[in-house]
Amino acid sequence: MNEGKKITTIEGLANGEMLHPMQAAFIKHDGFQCGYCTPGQIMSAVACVNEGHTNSRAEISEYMSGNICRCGAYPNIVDAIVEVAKGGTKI
Amino acid sequence: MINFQYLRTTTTKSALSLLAKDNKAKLLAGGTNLIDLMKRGVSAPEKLIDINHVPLKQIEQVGNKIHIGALATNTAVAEHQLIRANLPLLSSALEAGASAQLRNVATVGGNMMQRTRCGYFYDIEMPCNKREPGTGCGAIGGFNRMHAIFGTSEKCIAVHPSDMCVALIALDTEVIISDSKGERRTSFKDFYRLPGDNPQLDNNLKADEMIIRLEIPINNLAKNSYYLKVRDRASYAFALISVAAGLEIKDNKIFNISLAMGGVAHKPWRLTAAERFLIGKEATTENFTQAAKLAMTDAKGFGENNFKLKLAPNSIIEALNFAKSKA
Repeated sequence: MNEGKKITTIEGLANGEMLHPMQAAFIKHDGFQCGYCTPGQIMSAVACVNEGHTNSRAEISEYMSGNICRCGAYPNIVDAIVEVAKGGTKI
Repeated sequence: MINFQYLRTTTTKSALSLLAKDNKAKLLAGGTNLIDLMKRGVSAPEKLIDINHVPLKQIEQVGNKIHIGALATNTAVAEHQLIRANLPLLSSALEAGASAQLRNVATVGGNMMQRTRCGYFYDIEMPCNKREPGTGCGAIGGFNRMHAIFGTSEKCIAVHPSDMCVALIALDTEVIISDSKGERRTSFKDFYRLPGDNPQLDNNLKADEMIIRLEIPINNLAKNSYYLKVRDRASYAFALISVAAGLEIKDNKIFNISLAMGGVAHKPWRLTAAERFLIGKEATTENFTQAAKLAMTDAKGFGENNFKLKLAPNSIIEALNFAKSKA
């Protein structure tokens, strides 16, 4: 189905020892507790910014809704995304 | 381990000839429902025909209609300028469904062909006439909070889970279908069926046919349309009730109207009697209330879902008021 498509996983985000801006923002804003959902949250967060769905906190929540966080770190995740989106760096 | 054969094709013609040769084969598009069903043992096709590379992804205006290829993704349709401008009801319904990740790969044709999310259908230990004809319906007298209130049968009370299809039936969509011998055309309403004695059949598509494209007439409902979805959480949940409402108001009167409901029947449910009542009347809450009452004729609860008998008419009134207030 997806033969030939380019796939990036969480391991492909950092540049050597340099964290990806979204990874750094998740740490800064404490966007996780147990960490189980974090790789998926961060990948969706990067896509959410790249696909241009960061116009409001509500829009971010809607576009991140496919990722469930049982610890309930949602507000901090949104904070991290808002910061990266505002930062304007190409991610 | 259940084995299956996987084939990939790049043309409609070869997909159709493969289907004609083997009526146990199933088409695979986004796979967001079919693969789940296979993992759970609900569906075990012997052969999958991957049609993701078949060029049926077009979204274009042809005359006064918009054509959407069966393999256009939900995201591509929802975000397309033609759809946002002319058929915002469809964009809203699509964006109310699933999650961004699912919408990115789920296709229009696949959305139409998705199976019910009835818990008894999904649990292979349970009786279900839709999964295994003759085993009975677990939902009747069982857990049926999400289930149908219209058009049910003694065999099945499952609902069609799509949001997109509720908008499409409201928009008078036509479905272009093909088998290896040629194309046919059907209204969206006639594409689907009620469970009756054969709940294993969700729709009238034959085993050797595939959906090619949808044709949606451009209307004047765009300005005053609203898709209301009532669900257990704010996002990423199936509808308890949904309402697609489109109004064209002229001289303070309803000149044209489209109204359909989801989460209430085995198929997307068009509210024809309510529409007929409202044509030519003023767009007031009073008239909306009368129309909602008409729409509920023949509704029947099954215990846990009795709340829908009240939630449904309230949702109709709410959606119509939202559609109206957008003017």
